[in-house]
Amino acid sequence: MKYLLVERLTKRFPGTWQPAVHEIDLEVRRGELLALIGESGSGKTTLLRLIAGFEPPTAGRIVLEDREIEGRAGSVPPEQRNLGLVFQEAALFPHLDLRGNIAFGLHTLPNGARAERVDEMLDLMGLADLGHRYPHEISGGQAQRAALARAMAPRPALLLLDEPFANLDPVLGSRLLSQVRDIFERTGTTAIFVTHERNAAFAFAHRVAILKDGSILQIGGPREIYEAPGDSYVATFVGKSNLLGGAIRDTTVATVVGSFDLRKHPLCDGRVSVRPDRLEIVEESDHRLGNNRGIDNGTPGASGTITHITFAGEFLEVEVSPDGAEAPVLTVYVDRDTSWHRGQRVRVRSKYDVTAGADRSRRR
Amino acid sequence: MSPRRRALRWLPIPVTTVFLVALPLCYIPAALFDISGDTLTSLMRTVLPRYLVNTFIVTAGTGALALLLGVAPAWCVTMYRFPGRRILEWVLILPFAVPTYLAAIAYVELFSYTGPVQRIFRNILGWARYPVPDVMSPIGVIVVLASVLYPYVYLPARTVFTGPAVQAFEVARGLGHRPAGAFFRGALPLARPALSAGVALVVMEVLAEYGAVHYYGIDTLTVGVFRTWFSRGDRSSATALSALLLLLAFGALAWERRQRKRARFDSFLANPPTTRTTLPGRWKWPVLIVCSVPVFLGFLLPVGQLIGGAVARLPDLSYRDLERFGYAIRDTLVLSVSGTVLTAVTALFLAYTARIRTSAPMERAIRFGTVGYAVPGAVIALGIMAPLGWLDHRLIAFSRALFGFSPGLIFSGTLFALLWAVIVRFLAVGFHPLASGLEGVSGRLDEVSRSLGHGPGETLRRVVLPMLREPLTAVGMLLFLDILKELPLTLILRPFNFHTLAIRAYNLANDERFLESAPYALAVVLLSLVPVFVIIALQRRRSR
Repeated sequence: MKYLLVERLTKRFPGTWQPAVHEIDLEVRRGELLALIGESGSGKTTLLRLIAGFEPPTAGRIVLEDREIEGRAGSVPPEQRNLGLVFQEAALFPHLDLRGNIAFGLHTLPNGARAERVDEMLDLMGLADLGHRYPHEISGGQAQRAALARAMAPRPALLLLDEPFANLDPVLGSRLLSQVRDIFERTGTTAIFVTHERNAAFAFAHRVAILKDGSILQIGGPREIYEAPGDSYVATFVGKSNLLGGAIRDTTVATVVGSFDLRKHPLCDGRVSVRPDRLEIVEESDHRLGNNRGIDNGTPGASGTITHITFAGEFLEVEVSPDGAEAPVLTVYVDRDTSWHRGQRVRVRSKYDVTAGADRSRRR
Repeated sequence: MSPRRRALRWLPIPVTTVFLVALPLCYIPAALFDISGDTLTSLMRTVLPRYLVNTFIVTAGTGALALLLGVAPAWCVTMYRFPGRRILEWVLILPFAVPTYLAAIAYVELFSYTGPVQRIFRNILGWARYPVPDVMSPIGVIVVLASVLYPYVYLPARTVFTGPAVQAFEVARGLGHRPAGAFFRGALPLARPALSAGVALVVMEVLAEYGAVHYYGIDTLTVGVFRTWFSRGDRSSATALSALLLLLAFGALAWERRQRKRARFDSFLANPPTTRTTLPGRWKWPVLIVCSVPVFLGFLLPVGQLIGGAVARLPDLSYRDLERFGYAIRDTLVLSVSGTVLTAVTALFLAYTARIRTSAPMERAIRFGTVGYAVPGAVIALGIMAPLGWLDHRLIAFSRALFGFSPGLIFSGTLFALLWAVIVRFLAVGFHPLASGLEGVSGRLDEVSRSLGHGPGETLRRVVLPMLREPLTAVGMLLFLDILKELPLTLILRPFNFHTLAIRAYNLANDERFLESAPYALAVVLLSLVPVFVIIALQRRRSR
């Protein structure tokens, strides 16, 4: 069911040649959590502001809950769109306490119902004791939760979140993010979440849309985006990736590190995206065709020299420069207890086999 | 409603405002086309050279002296610790409460044959012959004007000296310059844009000055406009002189705006907490004198003289005088309060519209709409009387033909004309603090309020206004003060039988009835002290 429908939405700012948002089509279902990710300047915030009604679009249509809020017939002003907004800076009204802030959008309710709803929101966000505090008297995390409570209080048709946790420290931000996701799922909230961090988008959203230069490059579930990126930009934007070419036969592509099933790893720009945790490193002298997992992928892998080892916490990030001038540097994540060293001659190969019929990457 | 239509809905406010403000300002340049070459050549041959020379002498002299009177105490007060510093720092602003023309009148009395200075010479010192400075001279008027206008320099000077200029001074000291060298090579160049902007404001005030220079018989351009227009009824010469005056005033305005833009770059430097040096004993008295002379000249002397005059007048006061006094207070409050409210509301709407619908034409319109404070009152009055007079005569003719009676001068003969002129002249005084106050309110707050179901008007009332309380208070006080002290506009445009305190004080003094004028003058100063004290209180709170 289409709940929010965006059609060929375009925004060109006066005096600029390239549109900030270019003919975007987008559908959001009721109760869906959608993340928009992209670099700064990719148009994600502009798209959000167009939906909110703070910028008039150059062309296009927006329909929310069967009501056209932007289109040929005209434009519904922001105050009549029934939306909730949360910004990076909590933007609480400094002259009102938290209760006043949360009640701000409840002006149509009678007093009793309003107080009840405010209590309910304070409880939901874990702010029950802070109702009479003023914005300058609370912490950043509390301010963001209050801003969320304020936006959710009038039960908006759609919540728009613009990097809501970017100003918080990472640990607090990610904890808040999963709390908020739970609250949204429990209350059936529909939300669009703008961020430049892939981790936040993956953790939060049912679907993720990647924006670049005002257009949506790909939209899909977090796994799909990560494992089957549609083009090389998406592949590298959402994580480290080895983009490898090779000979194609039927539904497989044979690369230097092994063969891959094209049905699961569609080509992006003629190459296949292989995540670093899908590769492994073995001794060059290890001539066995199989490994200890009993998988024979039919290739000995690519021989090369280790050029860099970076300690990344959970794993070691190892860069291997394969023999042969044209071959790209391979990035491999390996267990941090292994003892590779720079300059060592090794072979890099895929952990999983396609000829055995089971790409077991989903098993882990 | 389409986005374009929505944007257009806001347009009438700034367009109407700017049109109303621009109309009187455009009248003068437009009327120039009607002036014959003869008018110009005869002006050139007769009065113009004298007007120009006098205007130049008084303007340049006052600007220079105000710079000295403002910068020296500002430096001492921010850099050094000495007894009385904390009081002097704020008392130095008090001359803002003394209108130029009242100071001018007080100084003449002070040095007159019956005034206290000569009495001391004669009666106490017993001298038969003594030198008396000629107050009613160009030098006299320069001293008087500079001693009440220097706060325009003192205030910005104090602000830069508490910030980046001090850093430059300390760096220069660290590189081996003596204090004097460090001041002139380090601090002063950094402070120059802010100081220049302050001097430009003084120059604008002097160009617009009528009361003091006229009282002292010094013919400047503004005096010339009044004389050719009212005494000779020669409107075309008045227009030509006004155009020249306008040119000079816009020159000062362009200078001020350029300097202010430059001054903004200074704020990129960090503001270090000021640490004041305790002065060595031998420097205590010179510094105290430097800091007290401006207050003495600009406040204590003239106000003391006014108090003396008012007290001397007390025994002779009749019931009629008191009644007249009461009416004068009423008229003053009617004008000042309604003028303040109208101007503040206009400025607020303009600033808020500019905030929510920014566009290049809107910004240009606003820049033009706020030039009024550079335009001398006499020029604005001329620009307002012409269209209103035309309108009134049309109305009278129309009404006579239709109803057979004349409604009188509905616009040009009522408070309407005066209030319009007040808005034109003081719009910028209200606009700039409110615009910068609005800059401090995050645009996100408007957007959140809009998304929560409140329209632009409700958002202004529920979110923006509560957050603008401080700048609004400041604007109200500044406007009240300016309108209270204003003379030329009121003099020309006031309705029949409308006498403010300032008008009474000035007219009585002009008739050489100093004692009778003193109570009115003192009342103006006392009323002006109210906003000055509120402004001081606001400044103190911010500086803490």
